[in-house]
Amino acid sequence: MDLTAAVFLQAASAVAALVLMSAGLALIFGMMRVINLAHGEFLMLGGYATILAYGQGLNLWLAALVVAPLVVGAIGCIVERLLIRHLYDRRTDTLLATWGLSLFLIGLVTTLFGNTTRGVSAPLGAIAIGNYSMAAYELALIGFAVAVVALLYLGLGRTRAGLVARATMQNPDMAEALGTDRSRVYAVTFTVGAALSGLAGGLLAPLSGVVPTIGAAYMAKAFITVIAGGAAAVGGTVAASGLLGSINSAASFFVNPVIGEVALLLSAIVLLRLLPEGISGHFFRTGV
Amino acid sequence: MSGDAVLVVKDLSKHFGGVAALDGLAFTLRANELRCLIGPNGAGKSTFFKCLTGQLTPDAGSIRFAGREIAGSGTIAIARAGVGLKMQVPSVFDGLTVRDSLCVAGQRRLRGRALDGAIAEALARLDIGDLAQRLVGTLAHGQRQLVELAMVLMQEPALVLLDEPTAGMDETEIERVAALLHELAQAHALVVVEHDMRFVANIAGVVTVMHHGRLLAEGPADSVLADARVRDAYLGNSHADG
Amino acid sequence: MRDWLGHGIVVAVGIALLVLLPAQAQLYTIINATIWTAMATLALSLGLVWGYGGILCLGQTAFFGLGGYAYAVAAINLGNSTWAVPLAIATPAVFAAALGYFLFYGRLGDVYLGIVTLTVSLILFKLTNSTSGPEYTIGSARLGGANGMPKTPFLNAPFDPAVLLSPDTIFRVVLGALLLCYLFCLWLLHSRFGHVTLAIRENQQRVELLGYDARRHKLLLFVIGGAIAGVAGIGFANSAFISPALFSLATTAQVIIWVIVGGLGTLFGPILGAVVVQALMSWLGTLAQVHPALSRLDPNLVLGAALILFVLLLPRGLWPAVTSLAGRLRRGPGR
Repeated sequence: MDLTAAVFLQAASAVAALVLMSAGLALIFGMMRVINLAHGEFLMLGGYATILAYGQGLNLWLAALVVAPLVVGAIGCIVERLLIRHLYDRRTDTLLATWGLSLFLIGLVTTLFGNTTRGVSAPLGAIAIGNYSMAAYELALIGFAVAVVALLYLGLGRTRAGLVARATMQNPDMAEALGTDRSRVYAVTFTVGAALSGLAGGLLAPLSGVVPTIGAAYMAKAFITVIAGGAAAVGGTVAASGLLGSINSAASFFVNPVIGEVALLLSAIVLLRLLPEGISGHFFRTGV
Repeated sequence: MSGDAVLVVKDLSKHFGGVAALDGLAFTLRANELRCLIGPNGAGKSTFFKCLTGQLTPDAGSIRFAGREIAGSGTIAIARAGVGLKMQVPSVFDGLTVRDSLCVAGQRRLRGRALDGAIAEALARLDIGDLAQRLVGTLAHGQRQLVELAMVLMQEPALVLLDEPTAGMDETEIERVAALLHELAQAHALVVVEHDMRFVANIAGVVTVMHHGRLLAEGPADSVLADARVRDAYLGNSHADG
Repeated sequence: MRDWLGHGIVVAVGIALLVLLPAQAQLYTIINATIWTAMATLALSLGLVWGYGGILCLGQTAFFGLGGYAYAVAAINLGNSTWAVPLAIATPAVFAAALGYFLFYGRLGDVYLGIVTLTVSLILFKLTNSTSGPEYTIGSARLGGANGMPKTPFLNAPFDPAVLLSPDTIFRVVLGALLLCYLFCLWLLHSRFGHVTLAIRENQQRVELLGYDARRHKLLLFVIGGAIAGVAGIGFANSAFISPALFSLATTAQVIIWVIVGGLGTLFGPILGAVVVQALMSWLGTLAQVHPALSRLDPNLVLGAALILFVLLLPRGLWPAVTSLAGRLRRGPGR
């Protein structure tokens, strides 16, 4: 009984981590179709912002929930204005330029802060589940993931700004004819996506520490989750995270973590072969 | 000008969601016949063409081409069987020269000198010889249409489907196409979808009118164009919407 | 591609290097040159598949690494490099056939194809990385996990394992292989197959409407690319070190950067890009010793900035810029 609960909660925590990793990318790639290969680095920067702010004496929660999104959001805004803006219709060029950006950011952080791992211990200690114990922070992640999903769902689905954003992504010319400033919508959406990624990076930092190259660990998983999720930024990402996260968790538990990772990647490939439009391309088609 | 039926379509149906794009369409075409296919938007003309080329698989019905059932066969097999398609928006190779495009089109059947000869002939026939070394992507819309037509002809298809071949062309080009179609009809069967009624009246023998996915009227151009039912279909006076 | 003069110059330079370099240069330079040549071969394979086939393969390193590992494993087990070489070319080719079948017959779109190929390379990275223990062996060859394969045998004279080739000879063999691959690609692209390949890159639908099976063409091209990458892997095994790093994200990023910098859509461009970028990185490394402050400058920073600048300012790459400049000079002043 405890074992079931423990396994279930572990899986839920893994799913939550996937959701957090992918939320920002769901906006930037899922909605805007911008292939941002520097997504992992946005997460990395969020982690660094959090740990450095904490190192300066700031409360850890403030560092993760406020400083990280603000810092990375600002960086995202600059990146959009200077780089992404020129490449909106050039998909392969966006891919390459953001890959260059990714390398650049890794190099920049390495130059400024060195390449040793910096960490901070996860707050909230451990929780006992029968005979097993789990880091309470991992459970807290579940709460944060739910909050982020709710925020995105309400923001995109229930606000005017969200409606304008969705309309612009689906039919930019028409939206422009109706009076929206396409350029501003793109800039704001990208910035929000970056900020979300920064937030996620900050929240995940206490679990694994930060090192300039940690982005790579997040990137592949986030991309695969968003693609497997399909066009619906919220519904698709949640569904894909749930499916892939559970498979990852189960395989990690029953075999070993390496196989867990491999299983996640393989199942995504199979999923895409069966559902080339992602989960929300075939189910929940009219969702957000 | 008559001959055996090269294309016999019976009871062709295709649904998308709840909408019947094709609803029991019947259509017969003889060898060396030049047929115009007209009808208001949503009549099912594009869907029909896609079923003929293998881009779509019909839900029901039969398509017999040159004696073989081709409904549901893939694009590649049908193309090899001798069906050529000239699309509404020219589907060409922007990054290749006109000559190279024709080379690709013809090299499956021909080689060496025979290929060069066929290319020269196609260039002359469509009067695009001076464009041979130009990149297709740099050509004007009307010229791209001609290049696409040349590529299709290099296939030596028994059946040529043309989807709005004169769209975007000027007067001289349109006349050239009309003359060309007549000439082609001597060796190929042709189905032309068009919206330009003057062009239709100018070139066609028999005109087929589609509406709501089925055959509405068929006959010589002048009688069909004067038919009240056809006028109603275009003006939307019949049931439901177009 | 009709630029026979350009191709002629490239081949002539290659032959000159093959003949002259070993006599002029020290061992360290020869070994480095061999590594660079192997990498240039890898770049060529991606240039073929991506630049001419339009296949966005972000995991070409998968075939590179498979070739390297296959060579090492086979050479250790057979005690003789003679059959290890064809095995090391066949292994990535077969793998490419399987993966390609999945990708092209499944009609996966561009982006997905890129992500899937990248993922495959990453999977191979994770798998090889986890083979540290002594129990991970293929025959008598230990895979060595993250530390890589120890004691990869060098090429020996055909059928005579007693005669190991010298570094000079190995350089010549590897460069010779690159030249052969280059000429082969040149021939291939001018053949009927090549014409159709270019057409598929432009408009796959139209090619199929003309009666060609585009999927088969892409698959064949993909397999050829995989085989050439395998050749690169053999070259790398004989000059550097077989380890999971061959499959890594960093390596795959570099290959793509070489192709972009050199010129996507040309045959020589990727080769040029590989050499130029590696030379640049090497030079930056030496700079660090001159100015201590620069030692903190991370190579990623420079690579990333270079990539961004190229994409924004010189998207066609170096080689097309060179050839178009040469073309203008040839037409003379005042045209």
